[in-house]
Amino acid sequence: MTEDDIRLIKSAKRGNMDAFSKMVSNYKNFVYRTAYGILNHKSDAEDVTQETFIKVYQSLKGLRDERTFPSWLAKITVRNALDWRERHRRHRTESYEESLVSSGLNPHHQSEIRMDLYQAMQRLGADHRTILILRELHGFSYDELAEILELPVGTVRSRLHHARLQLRDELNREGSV
Amino acid sequence: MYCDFQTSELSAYVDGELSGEKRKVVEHHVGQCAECREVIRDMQQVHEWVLQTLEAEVVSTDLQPRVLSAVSLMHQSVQAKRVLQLYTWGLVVVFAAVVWGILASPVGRLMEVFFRLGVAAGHSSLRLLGAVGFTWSTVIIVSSVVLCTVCAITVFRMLKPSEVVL
Ligand SMILES: [Zn+2]
Repeated sequence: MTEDDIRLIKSAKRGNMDAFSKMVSNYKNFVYRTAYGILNHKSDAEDVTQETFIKVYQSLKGLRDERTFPSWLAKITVRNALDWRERHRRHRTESYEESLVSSGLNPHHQSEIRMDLYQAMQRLGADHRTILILRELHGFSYDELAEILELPVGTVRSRLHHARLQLRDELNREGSV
Repeated sequence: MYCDFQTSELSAYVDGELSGEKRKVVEHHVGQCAECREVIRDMQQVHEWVLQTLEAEVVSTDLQPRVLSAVSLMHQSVQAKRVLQLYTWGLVVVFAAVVWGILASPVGRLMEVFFRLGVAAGHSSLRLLGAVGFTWSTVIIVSSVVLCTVCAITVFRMLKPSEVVL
């Protein structure tokens, strides 16, 4: 969080639509990647992203400390994504080709890793996937993770550890590691 | 043989979440145990892959306009609600001012006189009924009601178009 970010959020909080628009632009991929990691489905993740920003607009005034914005945003995103998953239990998985075509990554090797990783991630429980994304992608501290997931720090630590071990084992089974 | 040290402390160590004392213990063990060093390497690998894979995901370009149009619609309705509130309060203030103006004007004085007259009439009627006792009060009230009804019926008949006569 830079001073600019804090100023932007303060301004959006006061109802400035330009500031809100800039905030969406700065954080849309943050929200989208979190949702995508949990749901593994492009259009679902986009819908969750939209829903999340609408909630942010509605409840931004309740955010007391602007410095906690990223973890506050992550908390809303995770809750939205998990709710979405509950509501749409249709068990949809995007075809891997589609997932590859849509990415800008061309090197074949990289694509294979992506494919394996998504396959492996899908075998993890939603709890494990969520904590992995929050830590590995966003780098939240254990205290922040405890706040976001409403868990004791000890549980955060062991859950994260087990999630990593499980992902490693799944990737080993895929023959990538 | 598996090392029995492979606990969540390794994750906490990798993440820099161990306090000084504990960090030293893990550091010391890892220095001697190849198995734990491999676990740590795997974890760093997992971190790299999750990071690289998800960072390659980018939201489609039409999402931002979608979000903003949904939010600005809500923004507008909130603004509209505020305007309506302001308008309502303005109306209340204007109404109160008009009422106050009427009461302060000569018309208000006249209304006040009539009001006092009405109050006085009611008051004296009550005193009259109190003075004459229950039976006579009943007689007076009943005969007044009958008289009023007869008057009302007569006036009503006079006003009614007289088709029946034809
Ligand atoms: Zn060991």
